[in-house]
Amino acid sequence: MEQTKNAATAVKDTSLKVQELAALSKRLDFTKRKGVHWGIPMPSETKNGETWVYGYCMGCMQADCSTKNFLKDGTLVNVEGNPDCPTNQGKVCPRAIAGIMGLYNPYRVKVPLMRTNPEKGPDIDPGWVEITWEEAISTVSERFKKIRQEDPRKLAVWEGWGAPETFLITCKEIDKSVDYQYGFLIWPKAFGTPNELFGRNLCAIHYATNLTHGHMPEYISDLEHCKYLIAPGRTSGPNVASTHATKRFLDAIERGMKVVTLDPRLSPEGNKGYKWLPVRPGTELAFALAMIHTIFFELKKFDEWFVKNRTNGPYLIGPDGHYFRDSATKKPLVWDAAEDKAKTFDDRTVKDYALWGEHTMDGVKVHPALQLIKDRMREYTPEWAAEITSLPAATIREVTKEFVEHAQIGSTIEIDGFTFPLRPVQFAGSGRGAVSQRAGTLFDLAGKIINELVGAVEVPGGATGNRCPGPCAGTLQPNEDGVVTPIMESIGGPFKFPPDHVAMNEFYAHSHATPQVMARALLNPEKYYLPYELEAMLNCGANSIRSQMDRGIMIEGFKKVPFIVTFALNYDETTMMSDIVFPEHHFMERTYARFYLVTHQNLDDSVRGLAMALGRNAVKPLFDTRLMDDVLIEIADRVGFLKGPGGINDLVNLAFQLKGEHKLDLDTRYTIHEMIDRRVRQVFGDAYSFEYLLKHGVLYRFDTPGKLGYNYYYWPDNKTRHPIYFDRLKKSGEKMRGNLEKNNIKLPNWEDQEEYFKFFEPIPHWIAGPEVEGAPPEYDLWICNWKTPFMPHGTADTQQNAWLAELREADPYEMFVWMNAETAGKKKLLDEEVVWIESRWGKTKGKLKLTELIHPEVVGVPACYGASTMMMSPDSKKGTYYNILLTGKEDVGMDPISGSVTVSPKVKVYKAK
Amino acid sequence: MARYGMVIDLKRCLGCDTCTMACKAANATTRGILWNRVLKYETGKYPSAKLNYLPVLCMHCKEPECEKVCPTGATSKREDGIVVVDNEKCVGCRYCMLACVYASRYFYDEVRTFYSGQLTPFEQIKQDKHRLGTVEKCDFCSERVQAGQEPSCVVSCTGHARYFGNLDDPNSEVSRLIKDRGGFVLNPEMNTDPSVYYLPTEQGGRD
Repeated sequence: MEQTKNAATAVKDTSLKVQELAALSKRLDFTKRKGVHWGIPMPSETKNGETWVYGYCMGCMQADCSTKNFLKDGTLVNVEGNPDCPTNQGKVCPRAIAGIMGLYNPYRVKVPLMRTNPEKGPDIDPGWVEITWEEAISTVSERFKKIRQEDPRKLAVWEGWGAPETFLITCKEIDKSVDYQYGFLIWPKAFGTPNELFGRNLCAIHYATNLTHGHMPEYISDLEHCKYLIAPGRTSGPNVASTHATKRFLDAIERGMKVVTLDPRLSPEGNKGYKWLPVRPGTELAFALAMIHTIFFELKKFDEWFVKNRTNGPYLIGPDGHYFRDSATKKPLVWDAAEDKAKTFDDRTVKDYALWGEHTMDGVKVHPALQLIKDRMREYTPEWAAEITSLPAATIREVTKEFVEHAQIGSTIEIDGFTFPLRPVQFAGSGRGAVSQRAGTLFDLAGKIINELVGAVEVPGGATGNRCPGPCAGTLQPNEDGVVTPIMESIGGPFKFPPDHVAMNEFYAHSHATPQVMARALLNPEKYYLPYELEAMLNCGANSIRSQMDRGIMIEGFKKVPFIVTFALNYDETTMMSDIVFPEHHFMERTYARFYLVTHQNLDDSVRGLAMALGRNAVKPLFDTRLMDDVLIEIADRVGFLKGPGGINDLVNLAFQLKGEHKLDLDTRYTIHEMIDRRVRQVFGDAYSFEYLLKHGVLYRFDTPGKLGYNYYYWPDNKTRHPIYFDRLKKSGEKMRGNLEKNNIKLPNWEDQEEYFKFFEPIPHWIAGPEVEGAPPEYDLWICNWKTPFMPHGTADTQQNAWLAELREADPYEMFVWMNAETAGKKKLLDEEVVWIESRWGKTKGKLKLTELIHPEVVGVPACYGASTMMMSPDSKKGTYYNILLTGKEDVGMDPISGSVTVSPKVKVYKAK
Repeated sequence: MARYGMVIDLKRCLGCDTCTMACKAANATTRGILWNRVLKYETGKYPSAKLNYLPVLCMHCKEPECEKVCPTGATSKREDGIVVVDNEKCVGCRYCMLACVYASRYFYDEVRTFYSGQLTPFEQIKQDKHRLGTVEKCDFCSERVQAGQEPSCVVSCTGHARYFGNLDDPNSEVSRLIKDRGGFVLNPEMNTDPSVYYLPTEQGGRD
């Protein structure tokens, strides 16, 4: 479907006047253009007080929809999509347009503030007094300077989706060789604190992809070719109206792609899909294990070539569960079935890699890894999974069979003269609905095995590389064992004792974020071995008190920190706990740039290989607010880490990959706009500047289209191997055990230490977890949560936005607690009845919506409404607050690998009197 | 002269309400009045249930009942097919609301600010085209159409599910879509000949 269809109609329809005919032809196929392209220049002057400027939306974490923002006498009056942008192609979602009401929200923070009431809480009057910017910045700088001199660990810096575009806080994932975990956050790293905190551990979905695919954040669907997509607990775009992801999804559906959604509720995506598998939440792992069983034991069909040549499936495993290595070279060994002998993995004389059997070497029994995987899967029959998931065994078999058939094992496709394996299927297992569960990482790893068994990995149609480092030679580069080099969270943080990190990254080495552990550590530093106390927090776009779990514990933890500083758009919980508040610009007030990051959902040829920058021209700020980066630069300069080696400039050079004359001089102070200008020039060439970008809205080029956009191209055939046996995970567990023993300590807050170590095995296996098997029978229902077009995040203050509030209140589903109609009948509960929903960890209230669109054993609550503060709008107080039902207690709620928590506890539902 | 009409592809509509929001911003209706809405309703029983989306707006009927009953001539149908309300002539009798087959008209009876009690700059600058005590509705963004643009809901639709054009031109995209995909109108038995057509979710069928 051409995005210009309406314009084309207009051209043919002579009764309509049509403008900019010459520009229309430029929009037809973005990818066929060579070199750098840009949008039409925006007007340089107003006409009758009216004009438009380029912007881009920040209504979600993607922030990659270019817009035209219309102004009348300086007032923002409309927002439309920019048709010259290859991502959104002229379209927007409700949040982009609602940005107008975000800008004009009277509940925004307008001036710098200082609290006078020492007592803190979301509903306790802070006694704000207005102070000048100079007083605010000097107070904060002096405090931070002292901390930096004494012990920089004592400052923790929060980053969250409230500031996805702020370079000095979020610029990471740039160079995977730089730092083990996320790359780095520029400002905290320059300050010298290890305490980078992330307000989002309910999307800890990276470990498995970091490990098996060597990229970040997760693998996504190649919708150019995919014919059969299994989507557990996630969206390919439609469920949150992700603009361009939605178009690609709908185009693929029109092409005939079948979508199987594995989801307790019928989502908008599932509604367009081929099959809806309503699964008990938290049991997706059982489904995945049963699929693997069915492939091995019933279908007995998988991509043998792929497994033998592009996975560590043939690697011999010793009795210790690790690679059995050649004694001389230490290389992993494989068994050549043709010559009946062991050889090193990289021996090119191997004629036939054995996948099965048992051999004796040096007096010990060894097995090919795939044999061990198959043996482990024996018990996971579809009947076994049916009991746990509630899905019929026949359905599990049928979907597995269809998946394998659609994989077209052995087929190829030629793209730009290069022959690829074609595997048009994906088990898209990195969705937070399924991965944010007790054994969510094991589920994600099981999903990787499913894709590897049919060869649908980094090839056309299959599970494909996302963004860091993207399609390039670096991504699938094999390590010394011939296996894809792991990155970021899968490498694991170094163990230090006593710990440095306030959120215990040393114990949760692979975690994405563990704010729930931080809160507990602040309250019990001795139990958590923390050798220091936090002196200060700087909050840049996170609100963990609301968006995570353990609200009460988080509040108490925050109270332990003597000095809290927040860049605030509104008076949310984090702001209300602060000592100094810096009022920040709404995104519409920021002149800024965004460098495109491939989406979390899907891609096709329309964006394959896209390198792009978007520019935003600010509207005049309404209040006494500032740009976060400007204040961060000022503080850094006063505290003394802006300049010099290791300072902000030095790290910006690294993060922005500035070279030659584009590099910042280490001893000069630059504005953020000057830094952005250099990055634009570095990426697109000196003919283009930040000013040019602002005038033209978008600059883009297709760097790796076609064959270059697939990671297989760079390491084809047998040149690399993906792990299918997760030896590295086992090593992590052993390393942790060794470190605990060496230091004679225990994992904090795990009553049974062995429960933690159960997860660190090389083959995914069933772990039920306390919600699946431990809840008393009175908690007879499950609960699940999902994002919606009105609120995928709290980004840009979706909760208080008056237009989003108006639409969600008019929506017949959005502000309700979904319950299956039959279930409600049995419980004698009525439509729109007000009920309590109670887990073992908290309770919340809501109004029922009786529906056929949800599993009978599950209730569902959309988004994250209902939690608010005394200073926020009346709209923000409506709805049901979901997160209060969760627990971050380590041995109950946490996934020890990713640090995420179970988002679907067992609950009971009863009338609220 | 064209007869303007709209086509909405229910196969692509995902109920995201971008159209509703685009209309809100373009027309600055007061809180609680939505000229475009997306109806959401279920069919079937679990686990074979479906959620259906139906964006509705003024149908700009060729034979509008609202025009027939309007005592002041405030409601009229233009030559290009767009049905408009002149709020200077409207006296707010609301007879048209009773007559409208599609319940697509709204009585502006009260200023309800977006944020309780406070008028934003947007409302101050953009809401003066509305007149208290009158009936109002979608006008296919007539001023935009006059300027050679399409209605805001069409321009912004996330799913690329909305089309606009000349129904009297058999070669226009809207006409071709209706013919090729079996476009249908709501409640044809009321004989108002609406100008908004829908494309079915499945080939040849409708939910």
